[in-house]
Amino acid sequence: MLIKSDKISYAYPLPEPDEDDKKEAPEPVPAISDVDLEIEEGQFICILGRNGSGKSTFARHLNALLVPDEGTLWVDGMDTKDEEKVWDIRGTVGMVFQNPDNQIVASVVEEDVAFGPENMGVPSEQITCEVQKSLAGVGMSDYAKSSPNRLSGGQKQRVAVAGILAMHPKCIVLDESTAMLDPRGRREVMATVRKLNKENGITIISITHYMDEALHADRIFVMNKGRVVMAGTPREIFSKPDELKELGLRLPQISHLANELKKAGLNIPAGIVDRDELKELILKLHADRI
Amino acid sequence: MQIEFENVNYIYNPGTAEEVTALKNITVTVGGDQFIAVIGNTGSGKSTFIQMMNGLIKPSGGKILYDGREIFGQKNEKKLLRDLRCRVGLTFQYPEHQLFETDVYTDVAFGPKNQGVSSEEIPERVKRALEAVGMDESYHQKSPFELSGGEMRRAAIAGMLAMEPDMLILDEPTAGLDPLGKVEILNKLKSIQQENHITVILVSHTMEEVARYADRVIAMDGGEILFDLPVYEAFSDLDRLEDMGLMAPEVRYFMEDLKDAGLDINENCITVGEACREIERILSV
Amino acid sequence: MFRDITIGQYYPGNSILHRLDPRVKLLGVIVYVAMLFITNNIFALAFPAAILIVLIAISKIPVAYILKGMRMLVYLMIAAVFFNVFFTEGDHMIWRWWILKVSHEGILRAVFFAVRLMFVVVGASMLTYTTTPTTLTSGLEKVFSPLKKIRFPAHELAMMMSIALRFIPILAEEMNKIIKAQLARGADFESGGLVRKAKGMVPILIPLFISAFRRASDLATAMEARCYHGGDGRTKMYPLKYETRDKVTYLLILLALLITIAMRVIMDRFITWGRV
Repeated sequence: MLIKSDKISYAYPLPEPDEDDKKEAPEPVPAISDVDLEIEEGQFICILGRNGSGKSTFARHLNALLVPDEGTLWVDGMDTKDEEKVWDIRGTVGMVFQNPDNQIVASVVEEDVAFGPENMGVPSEQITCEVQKSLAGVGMSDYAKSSPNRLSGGQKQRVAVAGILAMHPKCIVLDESTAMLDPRGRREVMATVRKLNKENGITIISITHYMDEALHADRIFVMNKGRVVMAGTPREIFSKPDELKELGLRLPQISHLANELKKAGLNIPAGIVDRDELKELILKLHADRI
Repeated sequence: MQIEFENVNYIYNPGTAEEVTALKNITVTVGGDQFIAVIGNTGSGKSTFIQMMNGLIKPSGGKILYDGREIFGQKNEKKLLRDLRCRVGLTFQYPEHQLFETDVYTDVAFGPKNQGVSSEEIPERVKRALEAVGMDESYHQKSPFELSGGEMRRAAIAGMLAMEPDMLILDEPTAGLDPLGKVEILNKLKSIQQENHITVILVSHTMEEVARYADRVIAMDGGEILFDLPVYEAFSDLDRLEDMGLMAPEVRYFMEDLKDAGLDINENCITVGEACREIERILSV
Repeated sequence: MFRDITIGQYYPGNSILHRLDPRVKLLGVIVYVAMLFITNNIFALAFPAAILIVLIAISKIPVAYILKGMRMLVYLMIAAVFFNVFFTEGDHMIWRWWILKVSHEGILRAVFFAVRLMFVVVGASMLTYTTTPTTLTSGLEKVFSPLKKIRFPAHELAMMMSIALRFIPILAEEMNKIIKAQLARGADFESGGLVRKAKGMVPILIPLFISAFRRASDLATAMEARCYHGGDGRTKMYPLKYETRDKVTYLLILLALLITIAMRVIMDRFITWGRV
């Protein structure tokens, strides 16, 4: 078990009230409460939910940027509350954030990729080697000496992924990392992380608003108001359109179409997530008709 | 409001090593009672294109007629430009990043004030604009910075609406919002466009949005207009889109799959509703 | 307008100048500036000029690029020329009106100061043109690291500097965008008096500050997530190590300094023509 979240809750601390403020200090509102989930190594996980549903807060717990007020979060057997393990945890779980510009530290691509290993105290010769391997892993070797300012959004995010790869993580968390990209950039980044998941067995936890990115996940968690309200395979999740709608989410187009056809009385099961599967079903219906 | 581009070119950093041609021979007319989508990847020139509509960028060559009149190079260019900006509203990506006043009301009033709207009329305008984006008076006194992401976005769009322009241009107004937030904003824009019979120009990366809301699609690539078509023709040629690094809505590919599998089907369906009806049709006989 | 600032911007390349240790280049700049101030004869400026030409040639940076960076400096140079030409007392007066006067000495001084100013700027920017901000800051960090013992935050300052350099172009672009966005809302930055103009800046500056803080907070989180915990126990991908070329360059720098001093001594004694 790579990640085990045992009933964790967290509330952002409120600013200290003024001393002469006689009013009762308001209770902090929990950003996540009783989040209970398990993630196996090598899986591709999607976390869906509206803005403010607690997804990002949960993500920040995964590499100990935040520690739970209540409950325990285990990352690869380490308790994130254990201050001695903080650097090991951050080396195990890497994070790619939303804004590509605000996570690149250095002015040269390869120096940015080296930032993590440098912080971990990896010997110099080894860093050079790691950096080359990581850039190759995301297909950015040609840009090693470039300035990040000259890269497209998708390329910047791939550099950010390389920066994490250089730390040999077991898991990469994408916190809405494709939200600011154009379609081309989004495809680049998703193809890169899928490859890392398949070929290197790196666990991917993708937090996203794009339902189509969730179609090929091994497991989906849906969050609402700080709680995990749905969990299951894409098929299970997308077979409940009404529940999703309640939660402010919608179906990916293929599932949506399948659902509409089902509503129109066709013999199509719930929770279709695959284009080919729906095609076969319709072809069969068409053949039966004759 | 009508804007005509005639052979418009634009070159960034002319005469330097970093010279970039952002627009090449653009000839197009926009305006009227229409919802227009502009699509294209980063670097396709669409951002330069929409900024020209509002006079923020002056063409390097060719001319632009705003309701039949030229602006650049005229004696009273500055005044004409300010008048133009009152008639053509433009919001950039992440418009909430331009909020600066202490409360939502004052921020939305910034535009009309600059426009010289009388102080009796301003409260009415602000109220109307905020209502149009679904924000009632309880928001007026709130600081823009205590709103949620989606609310900030809507307040920023209200700042443009309060200027009551005849043409609204929005650069990816739904970027970063959750699915429901996206739908809310697009539904509002569509109804504003239809009720007031004005032009809305939407830059979007999400083809499902384009297919569902636009009447007309202008596709740009490498500084040129690749096509300018009614929405139902825009996604008919999948290879052409692919060449631009763009995609069609997922259902469009699905219908193509069915056609390729030998079904006698109209493959050019771009929304789930259309696709559903078409599949029902071929299965119901 | 900020796009045009090429002073201080790294120009990618792989010349020997690019590969020199930043500490050598830092010392080089300091010595170069010192040389310019030791020199007091306009003809003696030929030596630093020659050095500069050789350096530019070695670096393979296009002269046009360097000149573009100088554009910002033109006003400063004009001012320096103006004051020197019109306000220098001299024995050989050419023209005089009210408090303005032009003399041979004045013209000489004006040319001397303008050229020297240009050399200082170009010389110093040769350092930043050929050194990435990261290398430069690690050079500075290394130079100042002995001071860590007296609690001098060498690593922190170096990190702050390199981040500042990385974000300057981003914030400049952001400012450009905010100006345009407010123009689109009918803002007027040009008319009115000073007070009105200053007030007109508010809609630009507030969003810019907010954005800078948001970016700072994002970046801090991202750095923490990548195990950043200050300079202790940190390694470097390219640790600074002196190569032969660095040692040779140190010798050359020393040599250049000695030549300049010798020239000054000799010229002071034997040549008066061209002295400032």
